Amino acid sequence: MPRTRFDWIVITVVVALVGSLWVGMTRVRAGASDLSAGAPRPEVGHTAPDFTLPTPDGGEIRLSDLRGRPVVVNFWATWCPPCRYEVPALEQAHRELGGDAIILGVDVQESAATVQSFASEVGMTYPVVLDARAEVARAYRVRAYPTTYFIDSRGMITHVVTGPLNEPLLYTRLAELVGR
Amino acid sequence: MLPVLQVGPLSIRMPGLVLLAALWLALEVAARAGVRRGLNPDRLYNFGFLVVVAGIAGARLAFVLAHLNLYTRITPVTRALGAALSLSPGTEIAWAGVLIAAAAAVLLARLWRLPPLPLADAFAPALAVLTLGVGLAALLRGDLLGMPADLPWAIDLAGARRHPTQAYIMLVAAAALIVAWRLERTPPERRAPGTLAQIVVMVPCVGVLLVEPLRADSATIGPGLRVMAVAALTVLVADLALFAARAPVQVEEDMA
Repeated sequence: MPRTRFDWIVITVVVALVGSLWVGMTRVRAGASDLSAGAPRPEVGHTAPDFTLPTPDGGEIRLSDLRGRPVVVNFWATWCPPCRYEVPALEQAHRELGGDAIILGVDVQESAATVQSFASEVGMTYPVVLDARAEVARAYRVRAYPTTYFIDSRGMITHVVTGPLNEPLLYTRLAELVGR
Repeated sequence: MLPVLQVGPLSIRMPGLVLLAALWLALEVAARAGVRRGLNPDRLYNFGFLVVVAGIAGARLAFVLAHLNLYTRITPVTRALGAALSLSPGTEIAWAGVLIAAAAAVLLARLWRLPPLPLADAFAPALAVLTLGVGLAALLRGDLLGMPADLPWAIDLAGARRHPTQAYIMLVAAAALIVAWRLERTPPERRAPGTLAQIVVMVPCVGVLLVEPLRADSATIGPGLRVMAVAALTVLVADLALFAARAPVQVEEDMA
């Protein structure tokens, strides 16, 4: 056990030097991230599972067709108050992003008429698809509404937010994806 | 991983629940350790609670100020306020929260005339309990992602078998608790006030230095230096320097 001030000073200096060397040796090398797109799974670091779902107007959207641009997949329903709360923020992001990123709403277990009526009532213009039997929601292991997946241009999930998104959180995550 | 527990229509965020439980337990531990040092347990409980609240509020306030343009464009104002006060995680600046919590601790200790060294000793085991909770919450959320590893205890996370860095952090916290418990059992006259806190703080610092290189998602600074490792080394060196400052220039038998 060190006893005098000199002993402690020697120990402090040695720890500072060895520690600095250790921190330098174990630094993150450029491009060394191992978070490469893994097998499709609804988890951060994985390729987002693909799906094809109908739109309320009779068309259909396939997630993998959107590859090349970041996508925000938002699982929601019109009966869910937090989902309704975040619609204006998603709509504003959709208008501002133009084609730089896609906001995609996945309505779960509701009819096309219900969704269309709600969309026209609140002025929702971003694309929405209908997951009538909640198969995609189950595949994405959605446990609560809303749940939002942030997917980069390679199709890899970068963030998952369970619960309501507020504007600053949405824009911070989008800025990371779009790179601005 | 169990980020959300669905009980009927109720969605319980497990990491938040674990952190709340850890905070409560940590304050209990601090209050009990304070009693042994002649400190008022209720005051200690309030002290710890207010410091944590200051830290959380400070981290959010720092984010709001850093991204003021995002908040000022939200209309109406009530919605902007709602976003600023929202309990949802993701919009905080952690280091600012730590600084503000530390400032709040110094201010409250002075205001309430709490002796700093016994206060630090009382909160040292509490810090270990809180770290244990942070590790468990990270495991439930899938945070603190480890590097890929082919080990029998590796866990399947984000597409690979990985070091369970969250469990390593919990082990480090448990080690700090054991050290605190052993030191608490030594007679008070054999250790100066503040020594327990100084020794206990070393354990997580060394632990973070060892565990951080095993993480795949470390925040970095400058030429790729891991922020947590730099912070741990800084605290460790400051802690040792404090030992040096408190140590006698010469021991009595040397002088004789």
